[in-house]
Amino acid sequence: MARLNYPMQKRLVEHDGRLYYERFSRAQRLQHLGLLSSFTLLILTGVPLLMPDSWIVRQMFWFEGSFTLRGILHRLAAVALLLVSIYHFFFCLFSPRGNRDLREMVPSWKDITDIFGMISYNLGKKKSPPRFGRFNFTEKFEYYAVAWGSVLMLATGACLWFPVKATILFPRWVLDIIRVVHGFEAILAFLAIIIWHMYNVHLNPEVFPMSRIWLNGRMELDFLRHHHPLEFERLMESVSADVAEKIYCQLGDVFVTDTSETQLH
Amino acid sequence: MPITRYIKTLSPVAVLLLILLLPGRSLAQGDDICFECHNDPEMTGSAGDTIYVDSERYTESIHAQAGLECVSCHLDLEGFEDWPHAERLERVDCSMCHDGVFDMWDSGVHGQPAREKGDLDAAGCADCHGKHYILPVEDLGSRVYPTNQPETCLACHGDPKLAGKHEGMGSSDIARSFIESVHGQALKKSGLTVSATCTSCHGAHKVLKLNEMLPEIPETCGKCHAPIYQDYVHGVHGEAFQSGNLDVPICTDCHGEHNIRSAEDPGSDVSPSHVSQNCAGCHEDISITTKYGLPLGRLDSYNNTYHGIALNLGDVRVANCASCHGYHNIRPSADPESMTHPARLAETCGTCHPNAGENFAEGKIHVQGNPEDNIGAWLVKRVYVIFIAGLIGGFVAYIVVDLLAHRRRRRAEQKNSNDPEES
Amino acid sequence: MTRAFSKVLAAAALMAFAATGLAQEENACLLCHGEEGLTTTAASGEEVSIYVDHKQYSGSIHGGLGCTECHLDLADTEEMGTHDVPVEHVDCSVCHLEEAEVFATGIHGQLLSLGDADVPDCASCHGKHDILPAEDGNSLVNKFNLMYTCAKCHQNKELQDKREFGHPDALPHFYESVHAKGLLKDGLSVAPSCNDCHGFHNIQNSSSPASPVHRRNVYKTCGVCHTKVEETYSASIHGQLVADGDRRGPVCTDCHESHRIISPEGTAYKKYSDERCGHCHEEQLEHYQETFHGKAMALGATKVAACYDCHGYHGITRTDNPSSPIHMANRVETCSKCHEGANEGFAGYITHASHMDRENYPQLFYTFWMMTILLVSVFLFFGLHTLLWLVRSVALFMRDSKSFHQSKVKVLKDELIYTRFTPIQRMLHVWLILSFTTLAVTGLPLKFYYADWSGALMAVLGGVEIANYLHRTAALVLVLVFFIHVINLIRKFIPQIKTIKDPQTGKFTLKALLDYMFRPDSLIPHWRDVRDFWNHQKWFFGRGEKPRFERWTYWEKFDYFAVFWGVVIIGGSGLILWFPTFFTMFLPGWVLNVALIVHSDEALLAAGFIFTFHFFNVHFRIEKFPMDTVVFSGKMSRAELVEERGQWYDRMFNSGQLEQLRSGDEWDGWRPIAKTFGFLAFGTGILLALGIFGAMVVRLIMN
Repeated sequence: MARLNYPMQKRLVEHDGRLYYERFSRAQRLQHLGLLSSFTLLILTGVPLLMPDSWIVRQMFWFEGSFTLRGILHRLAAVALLLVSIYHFFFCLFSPRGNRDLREMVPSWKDITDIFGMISYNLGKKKSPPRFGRFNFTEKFEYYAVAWGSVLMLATGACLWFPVKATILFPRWVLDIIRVVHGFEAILAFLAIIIWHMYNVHLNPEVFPMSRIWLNGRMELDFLRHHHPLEFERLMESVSADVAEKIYCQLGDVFVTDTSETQLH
Repeated sequence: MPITRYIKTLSPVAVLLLILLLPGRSLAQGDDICFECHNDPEMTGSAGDTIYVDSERYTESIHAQAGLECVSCHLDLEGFEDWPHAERLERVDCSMCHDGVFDMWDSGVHGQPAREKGDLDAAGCADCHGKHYILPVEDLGSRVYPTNQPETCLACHGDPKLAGKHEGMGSSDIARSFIESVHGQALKKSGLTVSATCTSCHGAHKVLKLNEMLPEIPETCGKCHAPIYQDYVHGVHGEAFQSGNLDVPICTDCHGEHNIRSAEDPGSDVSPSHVSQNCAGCHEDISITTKYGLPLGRLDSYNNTYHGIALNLGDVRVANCASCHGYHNIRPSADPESMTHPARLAETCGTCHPNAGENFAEGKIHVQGNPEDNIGAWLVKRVYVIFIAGLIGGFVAYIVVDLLAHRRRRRAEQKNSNDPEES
Repeated sequence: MTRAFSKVLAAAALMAFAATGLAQEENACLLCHGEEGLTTTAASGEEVSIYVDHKQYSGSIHGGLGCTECHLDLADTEEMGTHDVPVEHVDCSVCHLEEAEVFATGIHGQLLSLGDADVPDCASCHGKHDILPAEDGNSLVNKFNLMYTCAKCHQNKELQDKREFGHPDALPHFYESVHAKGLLKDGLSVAPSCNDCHGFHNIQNSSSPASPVHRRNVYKTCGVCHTKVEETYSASIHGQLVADGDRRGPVCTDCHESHRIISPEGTAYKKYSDERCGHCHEEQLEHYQETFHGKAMALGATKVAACYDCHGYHGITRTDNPSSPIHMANRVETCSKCHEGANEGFAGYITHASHMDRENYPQLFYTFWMMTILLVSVFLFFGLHTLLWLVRSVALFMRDSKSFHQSKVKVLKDELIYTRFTPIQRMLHVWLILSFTTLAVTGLPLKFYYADWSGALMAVLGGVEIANYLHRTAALVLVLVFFIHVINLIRKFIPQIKTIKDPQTGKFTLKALLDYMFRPDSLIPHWRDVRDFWNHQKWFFGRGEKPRFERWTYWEKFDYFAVFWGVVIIGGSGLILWFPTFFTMFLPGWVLNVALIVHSDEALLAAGFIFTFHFFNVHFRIEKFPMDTVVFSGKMSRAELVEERGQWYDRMFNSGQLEQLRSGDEWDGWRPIAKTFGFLAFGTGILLALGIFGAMVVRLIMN
């Protein structure tokens, strides 16, 4: 829909005299915060069920009613996750920003080739890395992993929360399978976040110690050009000439207005 | 005047007659002689043991009230005149009057069996009832009044030295734990005389040995817990016990013997937090399960379920062994009256999960992760493990490669910046 | 001869026939009455069954008797199939004379003899053709079934309304009781059923002195099983009152209730027992409820002292009796039951204190009134101040709302931003808010325990114990905030020490120090503030210009030092209340009472002040509504600076320091805070990851 168009130039923002690429709007950052908090709480209250005999878990449940409290917090966090998911669903469908970003998330063959391209580059077989658009394959993978994981966990979790209502539809031994799925999907999600996601946003030398994008939404144009060159080019195409000049100036490039003069900024 | 002379002469006689005929609230005449010496609180024998007899207390005792004199029991001093008497008197033989009770005592573990072994510590009449201040059993002050019995019995059975000397007595801790039990507390704290005291279970005079008591224990408990006894004898454990099977648990196997606590007390062996361990004592014992063909791994499979995990982490509201299987009238699942019979399972589950339908109870409850238990769960678990291992392995590999590549590139960059001429 | 013989034969045959007829008599009745579904119409018009289940009858205790051995009036029935109706009432006293005589003396029997139709007769309780001995588990009068038999009348709504029973809820209450639990759940045949207390045939109304549950007899009835209790109670002051016939004396059922006897070991009983004692000892209960024990109990706490924890329960005697737990010599031991390490000082705590009693408790009286006067004066003063300010603002707004709007817009849109609060100050304020609010939320319900919202709030918090824990944690946080602030002040002061010198001599003088302390940037009150206050008042009344304030206004200085005052007073008294046994080692016990009054009232002052005046200053003022964000963002626009803190702005501008205050990159400020948060989450994740790996590996290997 035409109404749902989010022009590229809107992604260029100024802050304290510098230009930045706004990668995540405030709504997106808030959704991520909601996801982060509910996910953390879910893990903290859910993992004890997977390792009930360990020393740490026994120390956690030292007071009466602690286990019940765990259950309440787990369900509260699940409801929070559900609300964030529902909000995200509508955000992606109906807000211009969300809609455009969702379209960028759609996987393509390029992503497959990019994987091989990146590995080859890392192994030294290629000279330059693949050129990524707004979202590279790792980010797309993470997005779908979270989407899939949330849906699965919410569904299986609902069955486990309301076993009597669930067994109206199927016999109880199916619930045993659901329990296995819930537990292992949790382990999968947790490991994926703690290894994959934490690497990408903390330990990756490019962003170490921490990429701040999740807090203020802004990405350095330099970083954008280096890591998401296709997106950078689209941005440059959409802005006016003097803005483009300003950008190149900021990037420290030599901007050639005409062949006679070279201006160094 | 002749009348006054009569009165003067006759008055001592009259007085004497009066004394003789007065109701016996006072000491019997002959006792005066004894109390001349024995009324001294400091009087002791050569071994230092006291031989003081409080005459007031003695008068209130049941024997004095019945009109007995000292020599009625201490027969060897009847007609004795050559004071002082010998140091050691003959042992008082209570069976002179109390022969029925004496026979009962003699046939019990304190009587003849102890004598035959040469055991001089075994309790005799005086050890429990006292000597000179015996009161009727119904009297609150009696040493054998229900609420006082624990102290009386524990005088020997709570003494670690004595318990160490006599094997058959059992540990003194065990006996002393009675005070903290629900029965002991009812007696001592709430003053409930209807509560079980020592003699309620062990008998008063004919105290039996453990192996003699064993077959009677359920019935003994059933004296007060009658409906429970009925439940028990109709259950699988009770029926087996009545046919002579000694492997099955009786009341004391699950509830304890002296230290029985209320089932709601978290310290009780049958409280929600402990009952599964209790049942596991037999149902996880390989010799018993093989002997009777019982299914294995009951506790293990229970601990794998949400109920088991929650219980072990402190939530006592969840189902434990007794919640589903019952506790006194446990029946095998094949029995239509059993709480775990397939037709009744939904109802059993429904006690905690209201409106549980038939579907709710379908499927094996005690699962141990075998393919036979639930092939779906087993498969899904395997698939997940492989998938997770593969995916995470892939992640780690990618990360390692990435990091190494970074390092390689950074080194190359540094090298380049050191040698700017090299292109 | 044969003639006589045949006559004999005939007679014998007749007799035999008659004999068989006699034996057949029982069967004769059953020919009709053995038919299921046989009914007749009773006098009331109802259809009643007259079917007799022969199997049941022969299994009953009367099974060996023939029908007419009870139904005497039917003994002469000649023909089968007909007898007079209605059948006469069976008189059980023919065999059971003794029981019938006893029954006649009881209330059921007496009413029955007066012709009362509602009252039970023998058959109503024992049954008719299905009577079993009382020991039989199926008997209607077996102790495990008896309550249901009694319930047929005593839980019948119509009968209850008609006869106005004294205890219409007796049976439902009984089912909740520990006796019913023992009977019905634990299957204890020694537990009491209806008959054990009320008797069975000679039941009397409880107002009758012959009834075992009459006031003067009931403790003996209870004492049949609870013998020790009876002994203790009889020796107690309550027991003596009852024995003397004094109506004030409580009996067992006054404290334990007659039917809903719940276990005194439970927590439900504890709260209930306080009310029971208070039924007679009203004043003591009121004063008890003013102490922590009473308040916590009213809010549902379980581990606090109830009346009986200190006074004992069955053996209550006067305080001067050496066996009383609250006798002076025994008090320390009694307190030590819960408060380990209690000492003489601690036992000197006034348990039923009344701060309105000047004669007996002067220290409490004067403390209370001092605090009250303080509160009232502060609230009056600032209330007036706030009111005047509000009126002035509203008047201004209404007079010229356009310029009001314009200035507000200017303030918000001004692009020149200056820093007023550093990140640390902002963070400390956030923590101050968190801890203060927690303290208020967990503490105020205790003060206002009698309000409906207190109970609800306590329940939401999870109970008094949890609120306790949260309160103390928050207190520690607040004190920590305080210390960090002070340390920060010192840190900033230390480099400034060198600058404190007399401008001429270059030496450190007292005057230089005073000048430094009272410099315009300082929070220490100054004459300027008095002037500002006065001018502000004048402006309220439209008698002058709105004063131009320096960096800190007088109300901000008051707010600031109020916190200092609060931390010391509330913190100090709170510390005493937290460690009462420690402090009473060297302070007398009544200090705890005083500390409570001080803590409670000062906290009310602080909370009240913050939630009203401070909130007015930063939230409700028309210019600031809905919130003055400066303390969170740390930033003020230039327009705002000029308008609100004009003198400060001028000073900064003139001294050239204004540019230093210009706000830089926002991220720089956030950096340390956001990093801390981020790494905390990161660290938690790593630890969990390690845990999971370990557990998974172990499990996979084991399986």
